Amino acid sequence: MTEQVVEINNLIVRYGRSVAVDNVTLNIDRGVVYALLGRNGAGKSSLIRCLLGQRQADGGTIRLFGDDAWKRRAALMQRVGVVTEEADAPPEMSVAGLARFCRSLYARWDQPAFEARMRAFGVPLTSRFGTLSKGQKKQVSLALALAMSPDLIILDDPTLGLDVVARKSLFEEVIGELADRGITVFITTHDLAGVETFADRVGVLKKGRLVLDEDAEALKSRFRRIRFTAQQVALEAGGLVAAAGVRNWGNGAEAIVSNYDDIAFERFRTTSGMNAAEIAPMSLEEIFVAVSGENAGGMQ
Amino acid sequence: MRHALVIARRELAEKRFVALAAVAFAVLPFLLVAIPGLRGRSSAADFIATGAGILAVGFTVGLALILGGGIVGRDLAENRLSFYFARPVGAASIWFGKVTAAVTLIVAAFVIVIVPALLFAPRGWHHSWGGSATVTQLTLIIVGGAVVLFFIAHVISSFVRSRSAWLAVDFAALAVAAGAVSLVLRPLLGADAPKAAVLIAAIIGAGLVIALIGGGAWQLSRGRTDRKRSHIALSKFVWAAIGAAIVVGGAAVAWIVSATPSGLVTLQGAGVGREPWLIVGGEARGRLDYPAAFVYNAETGAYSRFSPRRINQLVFTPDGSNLLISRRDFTIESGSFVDPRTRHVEIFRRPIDRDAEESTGLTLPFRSTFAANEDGTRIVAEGDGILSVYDIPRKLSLVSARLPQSAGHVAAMYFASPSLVRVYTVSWQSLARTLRAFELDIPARALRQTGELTRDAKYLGVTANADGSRLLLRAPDALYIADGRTVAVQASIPSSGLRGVVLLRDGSLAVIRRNGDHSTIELLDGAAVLKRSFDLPLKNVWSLRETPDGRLITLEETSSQWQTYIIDATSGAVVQHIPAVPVGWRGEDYGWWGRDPRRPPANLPKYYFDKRLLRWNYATNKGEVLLPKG
Repeated sequence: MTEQVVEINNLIVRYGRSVAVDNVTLNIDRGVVYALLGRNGAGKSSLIRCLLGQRQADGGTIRLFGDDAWKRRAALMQRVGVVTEEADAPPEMSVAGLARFCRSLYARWDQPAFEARMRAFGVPLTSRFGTLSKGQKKQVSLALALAMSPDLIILDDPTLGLDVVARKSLFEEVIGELADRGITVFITTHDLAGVETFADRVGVLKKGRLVLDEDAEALKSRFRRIRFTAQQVALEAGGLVAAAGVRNWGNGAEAIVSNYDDIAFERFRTTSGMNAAEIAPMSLEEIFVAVSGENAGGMQ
Repeated sequence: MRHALVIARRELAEKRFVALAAVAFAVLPFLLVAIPGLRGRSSAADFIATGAGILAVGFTVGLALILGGGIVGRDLAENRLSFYFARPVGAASIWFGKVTAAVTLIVAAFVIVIVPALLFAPRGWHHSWGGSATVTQLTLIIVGGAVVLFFIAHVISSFVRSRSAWLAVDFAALAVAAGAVSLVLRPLLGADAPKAAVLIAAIIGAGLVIALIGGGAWQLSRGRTDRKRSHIALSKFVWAAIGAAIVVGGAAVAWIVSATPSGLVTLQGAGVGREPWLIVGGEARGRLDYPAAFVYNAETGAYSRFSPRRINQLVFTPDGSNLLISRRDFTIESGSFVDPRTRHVEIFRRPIDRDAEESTGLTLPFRSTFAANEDGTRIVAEGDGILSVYDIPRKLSLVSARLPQSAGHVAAMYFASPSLVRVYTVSWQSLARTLRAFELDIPARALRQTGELTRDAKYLGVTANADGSRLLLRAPDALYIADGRTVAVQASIPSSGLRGVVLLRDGSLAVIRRNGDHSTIELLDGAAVLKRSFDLPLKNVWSLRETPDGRLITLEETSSQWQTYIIDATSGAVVQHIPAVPVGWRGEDYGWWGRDPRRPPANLPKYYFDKRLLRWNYATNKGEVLLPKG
């Protein structure tokens, strides 16, 4: 039986009268990379604050490694590495100073690994944290999070504001670490292309509700964009479900189907007599846009 | 603990610039002294020491406020606390680590600024700030005060920076707490019990310290990185701790003021109203310096509490049924700094047998005197030369009249009848004393002088017989018998050796004099013509009173005891000798009569106050100790 690293049951987070996280339930097994997607204000950061024991849930429970995340926060943080959305380390501290500080708190601190990563990132240990670029700050945060040999790493939009090179470097570092140690990753990001290659499971938060929680490969296999030459399309005939409705596309129509499989599609084609159709697989970003129902503007 | 030290070390490293700033402040006086003309006439050492002291206080207090304002409030506002909360450290470790660093900085900053001046200008330091003991005390006060300010700044900063509507709750709680503290301390401050008040203030202060120190830990434990929740958690803890301390303090005050006569361990002031009702007061067991006082029934043990708060004057009404109390609007301590002419007394009235003191609504100038009619329903008061009569139940001023400027001070006054007040004043010019008698006719609203008497005398003491018709005027060299209304002298006798005098109910007069190793009682007729005299083998006699059955009582003081003698007024024979009654305030003599000069006949004193309250049994000549118990 696989160990559940994260267990969230009926989580509710409120700010006054507004509900930021609405009855969310999700579980993450050991070694899984879980990508939680959602637009700004969808409730991702609130969920992460609860996950880190920094905010008490207004309803429901959160357990990490079987322990209550709120009550056992301090002990759990020995096993959880964190990279926050905004770098929160004291700006006047040097990188070496940050490492010294963390080394005195973590039982499994790996100083050589930290220094090796800093060298790989090209960040001098003597630099003050406040003087580093945004990308370097993220790299330092990631190195700190990994040096304490975590069993779970939580990345809250780690690529926000990073350039393409920095983003690639950060994801490669995560992927490398995953390959090396098989740690569980919980990541929220707007960089869907970045996580698409290594996310095992994907969740989508929409206005606080978890509208999707599924294995990434299965998700991608059941979503298809289908373009028809005709404008009148009756998907129901084949038992297909349009995730974001059917819209006009040139002289024909386009539909995003959320339960595609070859047999169903053949049945649809036979039934509808519609032979001219173009079927294309979808990226995670396209699926997210379709699921979150936000065609205009897409992700920020 | 280890994690707290790790946090403290990091915080200290972050704020090490503070030490550099302190060094700059320490050097500053040494630089300023070199500027020509800046130090004026003071010596270089004095200038450096004074400057260093002022800079140390300013820097330390300012630093405390800045650190307190930023310790959590700023981190919360700037979302920096998540750095700590993402680490495996408890909320208490975060708080106490931060506090340790901040307090270390505050202390270090003060020391850094003053030490150079202490080392290099010790004479100036001693001259400006006192000896080492004083400096140590000042250091503790300043650093301690700065640390308290640090915690207060933390609380205010957390409240304000949260931008939460909960701030309204804090304002309301602050107002309630301030009011509650005032209510709790008022009974003790009003009773002039500073030690007890300090103890209660210390209890509440301890609650405040717990609130300030523990509040931060609770705030971080419950609120963590959330500003509003952090504010609410801190707020709840602070007000709960302060509230609990106020409740404990209030309970302690309730216990202190709940003293009973049986709990008195020392007996101080006492007096007799209408026997067996006495006024007793003193220190009660475990009540520190709270002056417990009671109107006490010596026969039944019944009592009612009696506030000794700011009493200026106590007057029993002539019928003994009521007590009139004038209370100052200031304490003696504060009064010493205040012109008494600007202060006032308020008159209260209470039945002798009930705890039902009520304000008469009458406020008089501090130096006023007053007297009551038979049952205390009317009061005549004199202040600044103005006589006023008040109807207490109806809260009415019945009449006011100004005494002539030449009248001098009021020596005695009383209600001759419910509608007539008799007033005696004494003025002086050189060695001469002038006694004037006035009548204030209440229905006619008229003040008229009814007589005047001038004598060469250093003093003129005024007492009267029971109905006020005759006066006894005691001067240094003579005793005058005068008419109660006109003060016309009816007779006089020399006052040499005089130890006691009483106007008898039959109109005659009895005096007792000391003549060397014996005493003599003289009985005189209404014209002061000697009728009889008797020698008594008594040396140190004091007082002469008439009993209701026409006999005389005199007292002889021997060593530490009173010998009481009851004498037949006709034969001069000693009817009864009661030895070994303790010296002290004899209840009968120590009624507070106020300005009323009339003296009623006296029974044998039954109650004595000699650090204890005794009920004297004349059959056995032994006193039974009523109070204190045990």
